[in-house]
Amino acid sequence: MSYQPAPVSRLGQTRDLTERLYQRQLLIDYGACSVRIGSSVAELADGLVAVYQGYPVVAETPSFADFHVDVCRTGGLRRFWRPQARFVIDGIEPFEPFAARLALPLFEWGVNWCFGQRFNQYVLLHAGALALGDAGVIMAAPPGFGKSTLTAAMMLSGFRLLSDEFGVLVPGSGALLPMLKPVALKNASIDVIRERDTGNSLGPRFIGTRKGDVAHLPPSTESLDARRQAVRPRLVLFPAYVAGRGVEIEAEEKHEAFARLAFNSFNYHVLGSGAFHALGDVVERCPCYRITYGDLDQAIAAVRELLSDAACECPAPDGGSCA
Amino acid sequence: MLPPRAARDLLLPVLRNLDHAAGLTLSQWDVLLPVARQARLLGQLSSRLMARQDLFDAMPEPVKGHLVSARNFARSRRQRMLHELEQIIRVLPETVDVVLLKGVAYAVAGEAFADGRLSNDIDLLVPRAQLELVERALGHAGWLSTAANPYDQRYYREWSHELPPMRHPRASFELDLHFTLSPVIGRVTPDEASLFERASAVHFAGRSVRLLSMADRIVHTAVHLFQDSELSDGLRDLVDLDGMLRQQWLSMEFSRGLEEAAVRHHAMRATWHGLAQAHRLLGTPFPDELAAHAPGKWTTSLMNWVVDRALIPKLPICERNLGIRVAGRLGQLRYHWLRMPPGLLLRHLAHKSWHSLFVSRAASPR
Repeated sequence: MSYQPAPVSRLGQTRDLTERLYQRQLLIDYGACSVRIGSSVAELADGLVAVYQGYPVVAETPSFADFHVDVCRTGGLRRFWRPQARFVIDGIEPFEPFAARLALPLFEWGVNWCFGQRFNQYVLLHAGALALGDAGVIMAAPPGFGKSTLTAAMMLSGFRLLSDEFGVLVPGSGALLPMLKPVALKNASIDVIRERDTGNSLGPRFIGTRKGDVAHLPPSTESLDARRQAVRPRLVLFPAYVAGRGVEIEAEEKHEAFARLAFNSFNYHVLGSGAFHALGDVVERCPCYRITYGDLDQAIAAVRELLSDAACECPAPDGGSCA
Repeated sequence: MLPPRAARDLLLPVLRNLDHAAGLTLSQWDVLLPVARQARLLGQLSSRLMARQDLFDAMPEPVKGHLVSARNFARSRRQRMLHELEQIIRVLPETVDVVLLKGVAYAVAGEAFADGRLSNDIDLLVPRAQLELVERALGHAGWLSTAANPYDQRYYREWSHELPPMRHPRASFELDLHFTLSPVIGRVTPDEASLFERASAVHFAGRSVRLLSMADRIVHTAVHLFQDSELSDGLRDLVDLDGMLRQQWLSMEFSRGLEEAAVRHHAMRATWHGLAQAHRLLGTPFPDELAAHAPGKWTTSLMNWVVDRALIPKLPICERNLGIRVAGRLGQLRYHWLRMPPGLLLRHLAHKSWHSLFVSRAASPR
C-alpha cells in the first residue's frame, strides 16, 4: 500500500463526528480495513469522540467501506430502563444486545470480531505489531500475558503502532499491515498506562464488562498518519509478563516459533498451505525470542535493541539494503 | 439509505452474466458484497470471478481482498465438509445404500457450478427400511439428535422427510438424514424406490456411494426450494438449479426425462415454479417439455410477487418494508400449507406457540 500524505482534517477538529455518526456516514479507516458506522446511541457517540478524535476525515460521503456497522437502541421498555444497544453488521446481528453504557468497548470488540471473521485474504495473528522505521516486530501471546500493556507502553515510548490485537500478514509478499485500533487495556493495565500517558489521551474507564474494567488508548498521531504503510517483519517475540522478574530473553527454536505463531493465529485453518508458507517465511527470516519481563522500561529497552540488531542482520528479501 | 430493490438489481444481473461485474462502481460493490454475503453466495461469486483473470484484474482493489477472502473461506469449509463426510460414511455399514444430496453431492461429483458454494449441513438419503440401522451406527459413533423432546421426534419421523438434525462433538456440520424426498404428509408424494433405482454409483471413502440422477437432483432441488424451506434461503437453491441446467445439454431426451421425473414424484408444480423462477431471475434455460405444465396466470403472478420480496437477502434490519414482511409471512404459510393437512397444521402450530410461550426458547439449529 502506498504512503498517503497527512490528511487535511481530523474527526476531532471538524467537530462533526457525531453528525456523521447519526447520518450513518462516519468512515473510520483502520489501514487494513475501513468501517462505515451509523448510530443514534448517544453513549457510542461520546465514546467515539473520546478515542477517535485523531483519526483522519477520509471522505465526505464514503463510497465504499469494508463493512457497515449499525449500533441501534433496542425497543420497548428497554428504551427507558437500563437501555440496551444492538450491534448490527451488514444486516446481521452476531451478538446479544448489551448495556448501552458499554457501547464503546462492545463496538471495539465487535469490529475485532468482524475483522477476524472476514479478512481471510491475510494471515491473522493474535499479536501486537509495532515498528521502528520500516522494521516491524510481531509480539504473539495468548490473552492474559500482558501483550496489550507492553504494546501500549511501547507506542508511548516512540514505537509506531500497527495493532495491539492483529498481526496482519500478507501471504506472498510477507508484509505486515496496520489494523490500527485504539489499544484496549484491562483492569490493572489501565493504571499502569495512565501513569505513562503524558498526553492524557486515555479514554474513559468502563466498569463491569465481561472482561472487567476496560479503557482505550488512542493511537499516536505518527501511527495514525502511517496507517496505510506496510512494514517488513524483522523480529518475532513471545512476551510474557511475570511480576518481579527483570527481563529475561531466550532465543526460540525456529520450529517452536512456527508452532507458537500458528497456535496464536485466528485463521490458520482457513488458509491452510498459504498460512504454512507465510509463517514459515517469517520464522526463517526473523530472529525469534521468548521475553519474560516484570519491568516495562527494561522490556522496552530490550525490544528496541533486539529490533535494531535484527533490522541490520536480516537482508530484505529482494536483496536490497536494510533500514 | 438504499431501497431494498438495490440488492436485487445488483446481485441478479451479475449472477445472470458475470461480465456485468466489470462495469460496477465502488459504490455498487459497497452494496453488492454485503448482499451476496447475506445470500450466502459470495463464495460462489468470488470463485467465478477469480476463475476469470480478465474480470478479476478489472475489480477495484478493495473488492479483490473480499473476493479472495470469501474464496479462501469457502474452500476451507468445503475441505472440512468432505473430511467430515468421510468420517460419517466410514461409520455406516457396507450394506447401507447411501445417497449423497445437495452440497456433498455437488462436491463429490466435482460440479463446477458448486465451486465456492457454502453448505449449511451434510445431507444423506437412505432407504426407509435401513433408517434404524443407520441411526444405531451413527449413535454408536457419537452422533446425537438435536430434537430432545418426543413431540419433535415424532413430528420428524411421521410427517417430515428427514430425521431431526444430528450433531457430533467433533463435527462442525450437522447431519440431516433423509428417508424420502419430501415431507411425508404433503401434496408432493415422491416415488422413493425410483430415486435409488436411478441413482448412479461413485467411489468415496473406500466404498460405493450414490448420487441422484440429474433429473431427480433437479426435481429435489425445486421441491426443497418451495416446499421445504423458508424462501429467504431460496436464491441459493435457484443458483443451484441454474448451475445444473446450464451445464446440461437440454436435449429433448433430457427434457422428457425431467418431465417424467417430476410426474413420477408428483412434484410437477414445484418443479415448474423452480425452473420458471430460475429462468425469470437468472436467465436459466427452460426445458420446452415443461411449458405445457404451466399453472394459471394468477398463480404465477402471485408467486412472482412473493419471490421478488421474500427471496432477496435482508439488508440492514431497518430497511424491510411492509411488502417484504407480508411476502415473507405468505411464503412461510405456503411452506406449512403444503406440508400438512389443515387439521394437523393447526395442531402443530398450536403446540409450537404453547411451547414458545411457556418453555424457554432453545436456539434453532438453522
